[in-house]
Amino acid sequence: MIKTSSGAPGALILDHSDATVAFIDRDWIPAPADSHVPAIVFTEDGKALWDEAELTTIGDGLERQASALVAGVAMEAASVASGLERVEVQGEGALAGEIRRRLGPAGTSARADRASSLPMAVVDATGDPRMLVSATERLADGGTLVMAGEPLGRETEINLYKHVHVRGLRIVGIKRPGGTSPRSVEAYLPAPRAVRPQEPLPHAAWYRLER
Amino acid sequence: MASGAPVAARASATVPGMGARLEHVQARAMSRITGALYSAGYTPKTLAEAQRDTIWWLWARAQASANLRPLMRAWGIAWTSAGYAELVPIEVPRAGRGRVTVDVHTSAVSPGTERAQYLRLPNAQVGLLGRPGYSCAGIVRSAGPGGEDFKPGDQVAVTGAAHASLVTVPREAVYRVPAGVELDSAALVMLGIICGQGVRLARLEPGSPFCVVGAGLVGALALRLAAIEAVPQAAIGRSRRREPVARSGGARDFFTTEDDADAIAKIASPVVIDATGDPDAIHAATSAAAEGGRIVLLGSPRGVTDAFPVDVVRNKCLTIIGAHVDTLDIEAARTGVDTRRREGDSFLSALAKGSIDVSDLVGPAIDPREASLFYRRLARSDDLVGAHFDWTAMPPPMQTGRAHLLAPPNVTGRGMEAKWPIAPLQGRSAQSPLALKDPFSTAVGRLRLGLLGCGDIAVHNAAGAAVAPNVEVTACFDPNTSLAQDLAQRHSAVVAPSAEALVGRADVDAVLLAVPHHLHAPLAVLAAEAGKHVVVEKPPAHTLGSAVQMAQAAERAGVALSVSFPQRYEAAAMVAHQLVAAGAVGELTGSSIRLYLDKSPAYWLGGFSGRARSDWRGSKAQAGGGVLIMNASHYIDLLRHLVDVEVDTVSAQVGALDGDAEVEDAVAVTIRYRNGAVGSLLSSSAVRGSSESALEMWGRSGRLVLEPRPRVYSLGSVDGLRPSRWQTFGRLPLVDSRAVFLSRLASSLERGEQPEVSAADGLAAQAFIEAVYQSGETGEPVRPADLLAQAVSEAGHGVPVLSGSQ
Repeated sequence: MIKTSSGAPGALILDHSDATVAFIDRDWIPAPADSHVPAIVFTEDGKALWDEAELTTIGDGLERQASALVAGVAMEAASVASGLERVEVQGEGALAGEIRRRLGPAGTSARADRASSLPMAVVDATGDPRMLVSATERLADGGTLVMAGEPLGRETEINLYKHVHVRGLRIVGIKRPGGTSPRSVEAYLPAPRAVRPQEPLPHAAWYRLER
Repeated sequence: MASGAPVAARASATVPGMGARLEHVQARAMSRITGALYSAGYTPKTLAEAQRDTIWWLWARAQASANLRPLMRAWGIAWTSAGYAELVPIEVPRAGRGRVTVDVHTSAVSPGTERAQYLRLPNAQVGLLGRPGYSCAGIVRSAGPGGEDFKPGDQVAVTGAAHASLVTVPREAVYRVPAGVELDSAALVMLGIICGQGVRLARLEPGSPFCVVGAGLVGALALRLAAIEAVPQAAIGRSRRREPVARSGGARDFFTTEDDADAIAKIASPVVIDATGDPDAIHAATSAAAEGGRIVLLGSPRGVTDAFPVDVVRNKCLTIIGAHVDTLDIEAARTGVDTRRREGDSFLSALAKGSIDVSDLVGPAIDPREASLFYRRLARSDDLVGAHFDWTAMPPPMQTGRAHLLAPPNVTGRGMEAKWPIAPLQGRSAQSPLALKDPFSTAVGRLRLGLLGCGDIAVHNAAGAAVAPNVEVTACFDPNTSLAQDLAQRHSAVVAPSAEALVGRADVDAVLLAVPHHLHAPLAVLAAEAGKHVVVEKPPAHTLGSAVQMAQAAERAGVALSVSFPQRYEAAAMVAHQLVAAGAVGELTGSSIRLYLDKSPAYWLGGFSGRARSDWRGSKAQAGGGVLIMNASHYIDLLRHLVDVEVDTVSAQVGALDGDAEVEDAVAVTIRYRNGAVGSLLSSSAVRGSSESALEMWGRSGRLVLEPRPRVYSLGSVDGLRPSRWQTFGRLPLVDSRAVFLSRLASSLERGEQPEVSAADGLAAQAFIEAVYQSGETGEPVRPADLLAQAVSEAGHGVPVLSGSQ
């Protein structure tokens, strides 16, 4: 579907015959060339897909629809972390930004430096499994790790005893929206940067990839 | 650099190369100290023990001093080194302020945790004091100020205390056991707290379904606690061995991770409790969980999860909750609620109300002295759901007493190695296996012996008869009349004119043959046919066929045939026999006999003591063999007497290297026992300057060395022995073994019983000897039982008395 380019480093390939437009979060783009990239894809026949999962969307405008879908995930993630002291959000993309926005001041805290102010929650919007282990190390005992990113099928090695069990951590998975019961979600995502296949990617929170 | 940092560290950080030089100096100093300690007799093991004892010594005194209370002696279980557990003496301070001292009756084993600690698995933490266990129950002995709500005699459960016969703990760790609750069940209190917390974190709705992964003690207990409110949908185990335990806890379905992956994926339970401790069980847990479900990590994963299923957790919107018991303290610090006590009281209350039954989870009672054996079993098998140490099984001398605060620490490391023997725990009481009873105390009857053959060995036998209270020598015969007259004079016996005349005498009940081996059979037949019991100096005969002939003659005549193997009745051998019978060694796994002698040509070709010329020992036809049949046969019988396992095959090399005689002077034998144990026998009569012997055996529970310097090491619970420590037999009384042998024979005959050393015993030794010789000739393994069966068959008569021995 969407892949990182093997010929042009940092560029994307739209490898889907029916796709017209794809929306991609910056944090979803893996570094290796020729890797699968999760995306919200709109096809010529009006379907919306988040990877393989077909979605029912609400509202007009592809960008608004994609924003609503991302915001839906952000809302779920933020609701798990809201109310907890000291929340840290991992990620630089649109999803991470939307989560921070929804968490308000709590979600804007930088990485805590002192043990006494270790975060009680880390929301990971990257999906990178390596971040999972490092996030548990930063969390305060009894804290919560919210997994809202796209793991891309990647697995990770983890010592569950040391990183979760003995410290009483919670790991909460946030699913991407799917199925036929979408919710109308207010979204305040910035406008995506429009890019073409094989073009170098400029710095942005997320991208709109068109043929 | 922090101001509190060690000077050396600060210096090493500021002066280039200083760190390396300091390390070098430290390493050299440590090397010198260690070298000096090794020179002083320490070994790595004894040094480790000394270090441990010193730490414990300091710890106990710090505790006692802080509370201004005396110390008491008790026993506890310790991880002495990697893979070794042991019952060791400990010192326990009496309860001071806010503390309670409890006489422990039972301490619960947490098989998963303790197996992991014993095997040194990843994530298995062993505390500074290196002692397992954290949950027990017993009776309050005393309570310090602030702990008066507990009175002496109260039944209590205790958390956080290692396996020990006596513990002093903060009162916060003590829980009153409600009436009607067994202490064995109450001893699971800590596990009840652990599991109760896991169930609470699962936030089960009344009547809602849940699933438990893991069917061990934690899994079974969590399932039962959760089932008080919710519905146990399924349990998942590694195999079906523990299915009954899960079913009895109420699990509707039981699946295994190996065979039921599809079924597990269909469980779709809103709550999954992972109680395995298996780092890969997270896959089964995530598979069994419904979308949006909660997984409580209750068991401590022993290792790293290689492929944590990030996608599954995310796509199923799962919540994974770490539920280590230490998180109760995190929670308490945040909320101010003593959740630990709440869970403990709740567990004991559930037991009292009958809401849960854990009687099938407490498992077998283990004698604490067998801790080492128990952990070995636990390491090999994960079948065991629960177990508990029964501290009331300790014999009274091993229970508590007062310890001295000013007593120095034991830094000798004494007892780990045989060269530092330790004394028995409690003297030589009559109950101790080390106690040697008067061997003549049960002597009955009066056996009148006629001696056929009055050579040197007959002198020893007659002397033994004189010591035995129920044996006398009444007649003697030897073709060399002067020998017979000499012996008759010493023992007020008469000299018979012939062998026939001796066996025909009315004042002779039994005939003792002390003649060259080839004469055993004809004289034994002569005596038996005259109606006399027959006692033959070892070996039974010069060949197996002759020995069978003797046994058959005795059988036909209805008289007893016994073989003089007096080494069975040496004091150390009798103690060894008692120890083996008490289980000190356990099932035999190996044995070793070594006998090095330096026999001169005079032994084979001349006389023995100068009383008479006797050159038959050097003749194969008359003696039947050399050092094996002549000397090592004592040890062959003695070992068989001790091990009580028959030999299956022997493989041997036999040589006559010195050339003084036609018989062998060297033999090496590999022995395979019927239970699979392996042993060896190495003997030579041509080892210059030597007269030494060694006999030892070992089994699943210990090792016994009879010669040289008798000693025993046992992991078993044998009264009078300290487990896991070498213990010498100490000073034993001198016993005339031939006197004991003859006295026991007389008593057996008086009671109408078979002699303790029976014809079957003699034939077993003879068959072993013959098998060694045959293997030496053919180079093939030989089964002694086959040779004996063949000899019986060739003799043409059955030998019923042998049926029980082979």
